[in-house]
Amino acid sequence: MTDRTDKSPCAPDASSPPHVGRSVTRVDAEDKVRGTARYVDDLTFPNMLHAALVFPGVAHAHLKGVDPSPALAIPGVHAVAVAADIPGENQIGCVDKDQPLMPEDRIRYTGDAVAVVVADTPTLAREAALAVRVDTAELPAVFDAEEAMRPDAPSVHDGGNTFLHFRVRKGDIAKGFEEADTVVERVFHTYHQEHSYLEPLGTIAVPEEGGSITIYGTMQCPYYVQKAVATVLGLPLSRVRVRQTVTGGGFGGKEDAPNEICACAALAAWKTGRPVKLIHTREEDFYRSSKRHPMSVSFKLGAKANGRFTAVEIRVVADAGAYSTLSPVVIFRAAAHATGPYEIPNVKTDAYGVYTNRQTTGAFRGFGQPQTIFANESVVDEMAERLGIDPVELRLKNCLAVGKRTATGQLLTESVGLPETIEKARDVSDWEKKRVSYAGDNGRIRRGIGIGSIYYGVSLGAKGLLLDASGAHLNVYRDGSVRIAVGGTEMGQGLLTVLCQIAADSLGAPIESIHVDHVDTSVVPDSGPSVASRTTLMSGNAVIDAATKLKATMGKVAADMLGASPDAIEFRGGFVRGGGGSVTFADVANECWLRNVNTAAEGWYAAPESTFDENGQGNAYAVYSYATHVAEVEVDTESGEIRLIRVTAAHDVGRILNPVTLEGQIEGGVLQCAGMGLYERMKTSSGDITTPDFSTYIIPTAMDVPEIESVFIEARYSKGPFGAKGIGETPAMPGAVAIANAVTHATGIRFYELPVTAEAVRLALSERRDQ
Amino acid sequence: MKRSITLNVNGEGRSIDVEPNETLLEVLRERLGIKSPKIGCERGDCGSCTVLLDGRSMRSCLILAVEADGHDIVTIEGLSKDGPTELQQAFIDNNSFQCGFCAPGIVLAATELLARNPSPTEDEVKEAISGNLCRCTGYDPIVKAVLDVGSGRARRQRSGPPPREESTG
Repeated sequence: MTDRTDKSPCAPDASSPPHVGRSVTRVDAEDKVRGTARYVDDLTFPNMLHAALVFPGVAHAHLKGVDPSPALAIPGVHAVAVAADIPGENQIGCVDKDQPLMPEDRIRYTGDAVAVVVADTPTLAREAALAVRVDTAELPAVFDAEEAMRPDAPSVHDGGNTFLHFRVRKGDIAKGFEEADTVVERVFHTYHQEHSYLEPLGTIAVPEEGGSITIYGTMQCPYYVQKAVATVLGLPLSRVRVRQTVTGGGFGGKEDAPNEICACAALAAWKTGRPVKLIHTREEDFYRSSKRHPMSVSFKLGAKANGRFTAVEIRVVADAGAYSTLSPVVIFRAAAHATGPYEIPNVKTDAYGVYTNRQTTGAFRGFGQPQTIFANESVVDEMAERLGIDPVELRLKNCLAVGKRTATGQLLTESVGLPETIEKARDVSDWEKKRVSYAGDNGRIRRGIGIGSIYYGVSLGAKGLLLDASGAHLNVYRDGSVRIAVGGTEMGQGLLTVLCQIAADSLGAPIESIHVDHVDTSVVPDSGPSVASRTTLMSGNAVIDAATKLKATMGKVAADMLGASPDAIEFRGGFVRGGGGSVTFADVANECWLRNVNTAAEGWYAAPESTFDENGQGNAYAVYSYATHVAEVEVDTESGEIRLIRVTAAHDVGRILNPVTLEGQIEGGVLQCAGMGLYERMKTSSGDITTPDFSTYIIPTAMDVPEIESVFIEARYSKGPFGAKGIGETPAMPGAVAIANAVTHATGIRFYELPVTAEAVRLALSERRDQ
Repeated sequence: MKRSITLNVNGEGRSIDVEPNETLLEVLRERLGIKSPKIGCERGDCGSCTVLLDGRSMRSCLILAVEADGHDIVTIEGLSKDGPTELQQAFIDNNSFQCGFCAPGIVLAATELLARNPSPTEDEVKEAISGNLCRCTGYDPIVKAVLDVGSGRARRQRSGPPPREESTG
């Protein structure tokens, strides 16, 4: 635990904005600690029914028939909705149109559901779901991506399993490897990781008058849900209203997965004409939600004796599961970033997305990168060892900086704090001393220190394929209070609080007078998804845009009130000043009301254009965030147990908007890295999940928390709100490989699979002893 | 066959008829409308449904309602009728929670700890909440809030100058 007092790197002064940059208390803190925050399962509606899904439980099969009659015979069961009941299109594919809401003729994984049972209680609905007769004929299935790529593998969809291929070609790798004095080539494997948000997926669909429907639910992307429900019910978007409820964690797991559950509940509500609640059990959530893609990554790196990288060749194979879901976007990101955050003149990357009969894989904090980061940052360490150069020095020698070019040939012109993250992580962790002293350990417990550095393209990027703009609606009431609606979601990360700060400082209104709502799609235009570290950037800029418009109209009234020129009017801290006088923000709001002046405004922000050609060259993302983690471990060389003792997390965030919520994001990310690095692997067997709960799928507890030292670098981004850029993903990215590198430092053994479990370490140590 | 039971929930006697297989969690949420205990796993793994049963933290998903007949049950609605408790205020001040889904369980587990042990060490706090999963925060600000209350109490209980803050980092 670190002492976070007096740590604000930019102590506010008179010229600083009053709220941005300060540790403003979360606006939702009191509701959450007093139990008054209402999550979707806490809500109820008159005449509400409960739904449960019917899972055939086979990984690959012809679906020959679904007979709901035994379920319908049970008293208290109201309806069973099947694919034939879908009034619109039976399709919820987010990018590719390859995923039916309910399969009609073929089941492709154990999470496919073929019917929705509606009953008086959730328990009755689940019992009745078991009574639905499902007739299937099993087909040969494939559970491994490399196997699925072979021509003789069972085809999950018609037309082969390799459905995605992203290439990056820069320079000439043959020439680059010829120039190299040393080449390191290795293959790495990672597996399914579960988001493990504490609140399972859930929704309530409420039929409304006039042929409309309202969907309440836990979600990151209400506009995705709106589209999915409209498609399935055959309704115009204007008749589907989605209201996000207080959301108990997301981490990417509630990006597209809510589409399915919400559309199922919507279908059931449509069929019965009554509100229908559908909440997943934890086990259903494991089966039905997306995971982090298992990847195998072949990584070949060439370097000169002086440490300069000359060429890199990378092949990534990602298990997309049964449907493509978000894989086209995730694997694009993996491909674009696969080299790691280094300037390398010659690059060849091929990244493949492959169908298997396993759980679908999609967004998870880091979005396809943590797997390739494990490969690149392990190989960089091995290269350092081979060249006899310190791992920190080797990174500093090759890392991206202003004026350098990424693997996609993008020239970085601003906001590149990567070198500082490496230097600060080195200095704060006391790397140089510990790297030497830990290596001298020779007892049963050996210590190790390891590093990982990353870059992350903020927002959706060139192959995001989705809307990359966001809106905001600001309404100033006559008493000066302000209500704000945005299209970006709060899922725990602190968006509502940070937007209050941004709004207060850009509008000059008192922060206590500002209220930000959870998303309602009927209020704000489609603002894209809350993913990819884009929400503070996009919604923040949209709020600033609306505030700027409001100040222009309100400023004219204020100028009149103060007898000043409109150009001289300043809004700050609840007061409007000009011409030597001042009035309160509320006075101006009231005067506008009296004069029939509109005090509501719409804001909009669209991301700068990005490009990625067929050779993977272009300005893939508008801006990048950077981070370096240094991890320290103790390894018990008898048992193999690893204790993560300290993590130094250095992040370039553009600008700190709220130090305490930022630190919260980083600490949570560090622990998710610990999970990926040391414990978490969702295991499957013939398509069944053998770890479908938190007693077999182990996530870190309070007992596993290392000492965490957060360090912030503020390399301002000219287009970010107050100079900020995204922070959501990066804390969950560099840590797992930093831990693996620390274990290598402690034991002298390199690991090519994550997680590095106690069993793996013990086995490797005993194998070494036997040699 | 329904059974009639009486639960003393947040200081108020509530008599209801329950099925013998209904859990305390189901009865609190669905029959009594007390929504703060959350359903995170329904098998005792996550701690989101924690309540205090006669002052001891328990997973309400693992107790049948009939087993709680005649006992005192406290949920966080019952902790804070007159505003946040000292501990809840410390959680607010430390921005301890993010998504908040784990908060009701952790507030109660920590409340029990402080009732038993008013000035716990960092390790004792971590152990007390180790059965409550949180995926957002990294636990650090949660532990810090409990320690803040603990050290504040220790300070008030002792005479003389306040003890030096224990260095934890």
